[in-house]
Amino acid sequence: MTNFNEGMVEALRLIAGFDPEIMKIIGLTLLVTLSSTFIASVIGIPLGSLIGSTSFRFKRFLVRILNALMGLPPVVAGLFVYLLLTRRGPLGSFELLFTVPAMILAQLLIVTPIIASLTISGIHSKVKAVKATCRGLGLSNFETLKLLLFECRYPILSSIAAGFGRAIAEVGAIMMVGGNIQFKTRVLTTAIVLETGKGNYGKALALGFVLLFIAFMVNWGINILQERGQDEHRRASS
Amino acid sequence: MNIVVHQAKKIIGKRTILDVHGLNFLEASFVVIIGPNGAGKTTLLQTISGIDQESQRDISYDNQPQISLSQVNHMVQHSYLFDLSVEENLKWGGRGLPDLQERVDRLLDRMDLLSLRYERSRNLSGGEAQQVAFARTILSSKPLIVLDEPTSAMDVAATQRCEEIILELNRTEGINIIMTTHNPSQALRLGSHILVMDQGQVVEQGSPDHFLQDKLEPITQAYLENWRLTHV
Repeated sequence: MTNFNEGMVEALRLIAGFDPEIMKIIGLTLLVTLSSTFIASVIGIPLGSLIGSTSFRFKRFLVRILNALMGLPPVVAGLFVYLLLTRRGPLGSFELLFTVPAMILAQLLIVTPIIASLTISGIHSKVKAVKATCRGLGLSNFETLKLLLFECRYPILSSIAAGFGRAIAEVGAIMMVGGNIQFKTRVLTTAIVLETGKGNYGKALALGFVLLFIAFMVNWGINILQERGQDEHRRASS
Repeated sequence: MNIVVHQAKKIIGKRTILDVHGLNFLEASFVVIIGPNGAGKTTLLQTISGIDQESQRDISYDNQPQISLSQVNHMVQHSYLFDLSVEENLKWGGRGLPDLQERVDRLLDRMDLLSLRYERSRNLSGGEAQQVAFARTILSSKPLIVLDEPTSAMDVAATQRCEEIILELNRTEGINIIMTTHNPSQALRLGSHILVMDQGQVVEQGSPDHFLQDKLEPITQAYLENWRLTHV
């Protein structure tokens, strides 16, 4: 308990004093997480929309694979990216291992299936009704897709928020491919692991508070979006 | 538009959902389809308007094998209202029309929906939502209007208003109307030609006068009798 109390005091001092290392870690965390979430959204939302709004032969199979990939262990994703980027790997010549792009790539592998899969689920509930109505009104495929995405905006936003939440809490993969290098690839989660190991509980707690605050804000956002979605669902079924 | 259904067929599993042939919908006709649940009414409508792409179909529209998106508006059963205002929803029914705003204003007034103009669709009652979906469907006055149980959730006054509007569209602008209903008296009021369907097939058809006589097919007789019993 003494450790915890001392840690709390130290955490408040570091946060209030805008400790340069902590600020750098926070900045790098947001850079990696926002970049990977953005790129994963750019890939995952159109992919999920396409799969969710069309019928084709192996659709069910593909959806199952995406659903399974949602549970991809981060260390496996990290290992895969590591082997890809290591000096002898197929992308070794780019010398990306232990850099921020490598961390983004690892998170991309973890987050993209989440966003794509949740987009498919979100679209699935409305695709039939929206498509039939649009077709009945003589709307083009592009207009139909535009309206479908608009109608499914809350579940899609929820999928982005869920992807962000997963990315910011991730530690295994980015530890492997980022290397946890001070001022270069050290992010909140990897720094917490390191500082706890070193016995610097104040620093670890300070970082933990920041991570908790960001995760809390993200969850808050998810809840708001889900509540709006539930209101819509209630309206649709009443 | 003269529509000839040479053949339309749909089988799901071992069940024949639709199996009709030799139907002729004359230009400017008002065809009303009645029949029990699962009779194939909706499937026939969706096959004619092209929403259902899975049916086997041989249909000609003014001697053309296909109908273009610009020629038909179809109000599907449980039509979906976009999460927009009533006015914006209506505008999706007439995109690109030069007099769109004028049409929207006129129709909202005619349907007594002016007070709901800026209301979000999520705040509408079931009957109000159905009126908006109906207005959105008829707004652009395309040559063929297909309506699947368009007034099932409406009150008497709203039903009367909608009936007046579609009759006017049919009689003054010569628009083909094909509609389903579970209300035989509505079919007799509106239709110039009535089809009775059961188990995917057309079991009887004719003018409203035909259905006022005593010698009807047993299936039609039973269907009308059941309706009478529940509406005394």
